[in-house]
Amino acid sequence: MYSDKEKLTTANITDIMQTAYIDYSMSVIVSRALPDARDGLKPVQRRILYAMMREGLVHNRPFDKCAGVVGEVLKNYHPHGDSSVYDTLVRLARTG
Amino acid sequence: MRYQLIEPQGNFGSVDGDPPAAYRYTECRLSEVSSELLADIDEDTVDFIPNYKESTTEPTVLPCALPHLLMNGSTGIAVGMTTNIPPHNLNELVEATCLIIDKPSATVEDLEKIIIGPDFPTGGVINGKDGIKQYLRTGRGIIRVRGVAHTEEMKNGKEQIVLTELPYNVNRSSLVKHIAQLCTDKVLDEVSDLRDESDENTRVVIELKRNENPKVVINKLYKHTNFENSFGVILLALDKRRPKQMNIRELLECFVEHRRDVVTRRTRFRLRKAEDRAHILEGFKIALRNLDDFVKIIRAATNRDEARVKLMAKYGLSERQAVAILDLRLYQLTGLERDKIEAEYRELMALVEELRSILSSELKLLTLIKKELRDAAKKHIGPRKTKVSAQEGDLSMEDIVANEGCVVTVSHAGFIKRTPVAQYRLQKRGGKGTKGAELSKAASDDDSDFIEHLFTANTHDHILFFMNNGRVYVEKVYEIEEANRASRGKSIARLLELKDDEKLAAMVCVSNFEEGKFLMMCTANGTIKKTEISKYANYRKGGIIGINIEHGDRLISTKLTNGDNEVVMISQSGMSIRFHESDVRSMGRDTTGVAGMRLDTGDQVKAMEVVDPACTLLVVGIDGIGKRTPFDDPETKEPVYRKQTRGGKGVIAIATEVGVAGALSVQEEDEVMLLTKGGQSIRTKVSDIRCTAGRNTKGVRVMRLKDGEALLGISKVERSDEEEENAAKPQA
Repeated sequence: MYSDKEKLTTANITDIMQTAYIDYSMSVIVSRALPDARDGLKPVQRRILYAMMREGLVHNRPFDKCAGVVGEVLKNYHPHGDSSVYDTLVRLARTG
Repeated sequence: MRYQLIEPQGNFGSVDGDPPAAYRYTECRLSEVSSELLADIDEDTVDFIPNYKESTTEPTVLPCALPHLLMNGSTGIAVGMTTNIPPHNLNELVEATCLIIDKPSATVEDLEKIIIGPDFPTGGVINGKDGIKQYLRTGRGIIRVRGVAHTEEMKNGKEQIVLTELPYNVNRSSLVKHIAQLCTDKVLDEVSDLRDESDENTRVVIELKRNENPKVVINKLYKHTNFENSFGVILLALDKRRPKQMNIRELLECFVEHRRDVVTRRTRFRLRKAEDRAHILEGFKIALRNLDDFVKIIRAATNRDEARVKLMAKYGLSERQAVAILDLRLYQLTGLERDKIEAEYRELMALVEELRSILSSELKLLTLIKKELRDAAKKHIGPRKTKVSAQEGDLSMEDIVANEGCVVTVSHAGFIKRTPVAQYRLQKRGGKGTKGAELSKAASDDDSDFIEHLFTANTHDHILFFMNNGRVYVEKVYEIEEANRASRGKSIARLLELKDDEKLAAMVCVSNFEEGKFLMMCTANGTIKKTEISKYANYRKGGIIGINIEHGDRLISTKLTNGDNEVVMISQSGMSIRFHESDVRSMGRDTTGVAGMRLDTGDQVKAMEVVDPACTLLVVGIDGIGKRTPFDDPETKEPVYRKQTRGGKGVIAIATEVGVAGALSVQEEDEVMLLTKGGQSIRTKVSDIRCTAGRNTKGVRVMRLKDGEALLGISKVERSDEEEENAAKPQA
């Protein structure tokens, strides 16, 4: 998809790979894989709990479809795959 | 999750590893624990950031009234770093947090006393405290988690092992599969049946074959399967958006700091709200005090704005107050409502006072944090599920080898084997005997092999192998290859790495090298030596010197004594000498010994026995004729074999022309094994051999020998519990 208006500069591929990889790894560390020391939640877990609270799915209300929760989380908070949200939800609900 | 954050409805999977139902089939809602994590979120307690499409906001962290990170743990693999935090018991965490708040100088060691270790939702037992200590102190450590099993006795008398708890994160069905695989691979050949009877509680039943030791099987499960699992703890979490490995104290401090932040922000928020309300109420109070004037002004005004401006100008009200006054309803002007406003104002002022004091006093803030923590935790605390046991250490061979009786035989050509004691049949005296060992066919042409030593031992015992040249090798019984009765066994030279000219002379079997026991050694030339057994405890693979043997002599016997025994030496010609062991002083390991018996030319010592008053001395000739004599005459209490001092010629023990094959000190209920040079063996009860009080007599036929056969020796067979059990039941 080249176009005349595109501005191209040459860069060393090793530099690009390095910065890109560091950016990627920091993103994984901070916003995916590691829990926050304060509330012990990873972003996706926090988003599920917060979304469920906003939906009013609290413990003294009737159960509601997981599909709704997954949809809500995907729609407003977590722009990733549905399986990652549902798997996390299942894990939060399991004992053992 | 040790403490569920979401309540499930429907199939969310199981410990058997089957997957949860798809999300269109399942339902959920937040649990009570989650409400504690989310509580106060709308009171400006945490920062919110726009969501990915900036249509709404999401919290960067939850207010989190409970120490959730340690409560439920976490796992995650990032780039270049991983975290693996086990769940803990809430009660312990709350106490530890309160300790940190009360005593900021509290050390990790202080916290260790409160936090016993991880508390997994699946229970189990943590083996060893070192790993726990390590990760609590450094943030990194490995703990070993074992499942829980107990044994049940079945109706038919067999035993079964029941696994009731598995280690954390172990898939039950694959564990069962693995056990089944081990059974077919003969690793777990004690198992006769395996069933998974689990419902919501785990119950895996392992039926054992008759008389198998369940402890050994459980230990094998620990060793070979995930029934013992290791959990590598890494306490890594994001602190101020940076990953950091922390110890338990730092993590709890993070939590306390977070709570301090949340509670402060919440208090400020509430204070702001209260002050706002108070401001408005102050306006109401002014309005109510000058009600008639207010009504007049409002009635005179042409519109709302005019009324507002006029009110503000006359009474110095703020715009907010003026607007609120204008919004008042008429009923609120009644006397009762006026009192209410007054009461609300007083209440509010008290609240403002309280909130201000919290913000200004660190102590009040911390007390509040503690109180809220305890309140939030109260509903969720429960007893520990996982136990912690102090016992440490890897499984040794002793743990996975059953301690059971077996017969160890060593042939003349130097083949050793052990055979379960039950394989030897009990026969009557005078029978022909069962085959004791299949002998080397190659050797049978001229110089046939035969069983030279035979004794019973337990598999956990040590055997001291005394060579004819005085060297001693020590080996565990279970290291000897197990073989059936008819097989030949393994070369002893290979087992012990013997030198060329060494031949086995005697074996002593001991369960340990405790003090106060002695080894009494006797050579063919009549030398005797006594040494404490503890001197042999530091054995080496290449052997140690047990006794110094003079040229032309050889070691023939070694016995265990207790320091107050008497010993009897019996020579080939039928002479015997009996003396107290105190006659022989205890010496070091590398010594020669002293004269024990003076022999005629050509004679040699055949056996040495320890005198036991409850025993009788059985002496059997090469022709199979033997006699049994008590050491002391039962009527006169006089010793049949007279006590002498060592170094004498002795007295006649048996009148025999062919020579003595062996002598044994035996009890009435004992059984003895008689072995011939051809490899025939016979096991007979001692009680079947008549006991004679006379010393100088010939005796009875103990074993009928074929032509050309000669009795090689006799050996005692110790009855194992197992055999007695079998003997008690009628044979089917």
